[in-house]
Amino acid sequence: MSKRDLLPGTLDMLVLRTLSLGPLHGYAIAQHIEKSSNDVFQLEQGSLYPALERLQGAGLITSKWGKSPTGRRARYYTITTSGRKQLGAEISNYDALMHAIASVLGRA
Amino acid sequence: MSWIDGLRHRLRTVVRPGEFERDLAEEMRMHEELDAMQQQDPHGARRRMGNRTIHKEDTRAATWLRWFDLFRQDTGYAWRSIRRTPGVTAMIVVTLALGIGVNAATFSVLDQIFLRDPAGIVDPGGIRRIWMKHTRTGSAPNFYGQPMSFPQYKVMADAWGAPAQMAVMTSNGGFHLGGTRAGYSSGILFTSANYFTLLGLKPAMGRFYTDAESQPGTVTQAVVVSHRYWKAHLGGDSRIVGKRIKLDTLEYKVLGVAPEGFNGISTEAAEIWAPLGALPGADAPHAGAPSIWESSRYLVFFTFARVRDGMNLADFERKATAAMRETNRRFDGPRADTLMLVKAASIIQARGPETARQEELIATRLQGVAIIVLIIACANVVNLLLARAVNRRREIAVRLALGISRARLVRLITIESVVLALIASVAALLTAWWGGSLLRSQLMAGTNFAQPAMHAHVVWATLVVALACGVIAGVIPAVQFSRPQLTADLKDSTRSGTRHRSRLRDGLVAAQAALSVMLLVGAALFMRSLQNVEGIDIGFDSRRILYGNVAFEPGQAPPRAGLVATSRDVAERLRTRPGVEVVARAGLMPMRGFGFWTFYWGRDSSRSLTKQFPMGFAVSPEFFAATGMRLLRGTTFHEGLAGTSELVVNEATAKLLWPQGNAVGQCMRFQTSDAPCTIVTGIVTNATIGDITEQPPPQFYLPLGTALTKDIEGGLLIVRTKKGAEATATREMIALLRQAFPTAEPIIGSMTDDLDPKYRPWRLGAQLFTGVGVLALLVALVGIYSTVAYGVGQRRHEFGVRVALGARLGDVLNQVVGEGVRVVLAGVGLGVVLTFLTSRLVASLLYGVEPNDVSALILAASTLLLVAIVATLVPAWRAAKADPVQALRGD
Repeated sequence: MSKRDLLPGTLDMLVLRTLSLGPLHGYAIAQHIEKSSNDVFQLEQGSLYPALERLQGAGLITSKWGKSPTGRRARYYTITTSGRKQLGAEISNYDALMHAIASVLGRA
Repeated sequence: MSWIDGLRHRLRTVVRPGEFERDLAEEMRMHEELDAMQQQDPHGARRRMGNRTIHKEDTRAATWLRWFDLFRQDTGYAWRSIRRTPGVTAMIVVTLALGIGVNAATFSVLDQIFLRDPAGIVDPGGIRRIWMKHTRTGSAPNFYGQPMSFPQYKVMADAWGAPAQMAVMTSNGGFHLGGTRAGYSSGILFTSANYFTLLGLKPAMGRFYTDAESQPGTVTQAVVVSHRYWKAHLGGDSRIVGKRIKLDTLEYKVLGVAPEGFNGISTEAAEIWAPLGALPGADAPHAGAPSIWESSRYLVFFTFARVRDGMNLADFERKATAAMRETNRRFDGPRADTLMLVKAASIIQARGPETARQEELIATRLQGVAIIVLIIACANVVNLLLARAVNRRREIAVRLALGISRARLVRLITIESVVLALIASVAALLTAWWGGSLLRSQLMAGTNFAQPAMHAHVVWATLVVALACGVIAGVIPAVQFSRPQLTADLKDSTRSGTRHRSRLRDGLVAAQAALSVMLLVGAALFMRSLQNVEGIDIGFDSRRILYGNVAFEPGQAPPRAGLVATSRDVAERLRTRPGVEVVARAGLMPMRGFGFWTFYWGRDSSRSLTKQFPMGFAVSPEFFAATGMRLLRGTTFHEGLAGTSELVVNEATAKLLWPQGNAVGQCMRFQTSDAPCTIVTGIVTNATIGDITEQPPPQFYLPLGTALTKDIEGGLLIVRTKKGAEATATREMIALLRQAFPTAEPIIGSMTDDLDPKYRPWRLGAQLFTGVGVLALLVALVGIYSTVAYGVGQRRHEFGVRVALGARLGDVLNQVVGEGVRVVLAGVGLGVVLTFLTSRLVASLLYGVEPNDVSALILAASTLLLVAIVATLVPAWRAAKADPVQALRGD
């Protein structure tokens, strides 16, 4: 899937979900999304960064520079409490949406 | 709270954009390197990263830096398009500068009179001036005044509840520094000691005087000087404290210097303060009279007080009113003002309950007029911008097609006009500075101002107004032109035959015309008022009248008896000199002052006169001939008769005292009812005494040198010169006066000089309103011209077709001028209606002319129409003369 098919809102939700499992740096987040989706999502990697900036501006995640396992300087992102709350809200929205679509398609 | 974290993050990116950029770059680079390592494929990693620049920009766009970027882009765009059309830009800037500048100038004057607190004071809002409403019987209606007697002040201080919180002051003028007439002359403000403490002042040098030093009855010859006075006239001497300075005949020790920037609490600057007790002549103003501190007759004291926490001013006003009425009863007996009212009002004098003085009225009306000019200017600018936007239709259409949001487009166009307005505001501030000073010096001439004309208030007001104008002038065309009509605009639509008559533009032209009509009517009314005022018969024939007097060095005036004899001698000798027609003497200059005498006539006494009290003057018999007053009946009196005395009355007195018959030959007895008869020998015309527009009061004239007038020196010479001989007469007067009084300085004045300040507010009003009217006319002219010119320019194609089809010059002219004039006509109609509605506001400033004067309306309307025709004629001519082939072919 190209970037265009993934709406900005969805990407934010995926990032939040990824970080809810623990702090990660940018590359690791991208890897996790790709791997967890069994490579269905192939992000244009750079498109992560606007999303990360948006989430930080909204106070849903925070960032701090630290050291990666290989000893390099890396920026680690952590989800905040309101981030978790937002994630919960977005997931239930998403579920409701999917359920509705499924009903219409006769799949429910 | 996580949103605080979010906020902090956002602020951090804005405050440290460099750090943001660097971090992002490093992060993305590291991301790519890790990816390359993982996939063992550096090129693939590059590809998977995508377009780094776009991602960086998108990230940046997610921060608040976006706004700065947008702002910079929009401003750059505005600046470029401004530079592209210098002509229109210049017109817009000049129009706005004039409109804003005029407003800033009038506002600076208003600000000074009404809005600015006196400088250098602690908490001016907590100070109240005390006013009293007098219900005196007399020709004047009830009026509010500040000055009170000293006993009245004591009553007020008691009613205030904390007497120490009320200060009292009185001023005396004209003390010459150094004791000679050549020294700088200034007034002295004699105050109680708490004047300084109540205002929260600390001396810049030395100290202020104490309570003990300023008690009435204690004479402490000490002064405090203002910082300005110290710098300008005492040389800024750092050792001034303790030194003595001479003011007129007395020496005063300088106790201290007031803080810099404090110049008293009035518009007029206070320069020297002295303890209350040092008031000259306070203890015995006349022989046998009670001292100023005990008498109720000297209404010369001003008071103010500081409000205490939780104090109820209404309570004070009630208590004080009751106490004052009681005091008046005690002092003045049957004639006491028992309806007096006390009011506490702002420290700013103009905000007190007194009816506005003429200068204040003019200033406020002028501000209203300036606002109207600003509206005209803004309408003009909107029109110019609309016309310019028409030319940029294609560019805007392209932008819309490329996806610019409408909000962004509106912002873009608005920023342009805001930039123009801000440029204009710089020019406006300069206009304001110059214009404000000019206005101030004309409107309140002779005032030594406590504060400078320009103030932060004015600068802020100017910037705010400029911003508002810029936004309004930009939003209107922006909104109109951001409506997408893409296809029509992308194609070159000037070829289409549609009329480009914009209703909005026509509306704006009509509005300008309406407002201009209002201003022109105002100008006409004021000119007519001035004419009327100048035509009033003041009772004198003021041409060729000179006054002669001498001024002695302080304390050097010779004894009175000698003065009288010498004056009479000088007058005799002057009569035979060339250039002199009539010489008279008087105690005071006409219109400068008068005296009250108690008299009896018939069976009545002057005490019974409640509405109008005749005022008396002491003059020589030639006075009437010299001043051009006409004797309606009888003759002037003879001078120096020992036995019977004579007097002359004016028409108003004759009507008042002897309404039935002839006043000539009647008796007035002065001071007691059985005094010898003073015979009325003649009736003279009514002469103005104060305000030219007021009905002259009853007056009478007594001869100098009789028992009644023995206290009056009669040292003033009144000379009527021969035609064209003013210079000769002046020379003769100076020579004779110098001869008679070698130690004194002759002073020659003229009645026309004396009258000048009385006509000045009228002249000023006419000049200012006419000036503004002409300005508005010019702006409207430019507006109409440019609108029509642009409209015609757009329709070049259409006109080309017409001319090619055989239209003659006259036809084209008719069409264009007709269209333009029709719009202006609509505006004129609207303007006439507006004038009817608002003319009440200036009624009080006019004399002898109704605000809805028809001839003024007609004059204004026709002037504007004429100007409109001229303005439309030029572009019409050009349209008709244009080469039709060019027009048809061209773009």
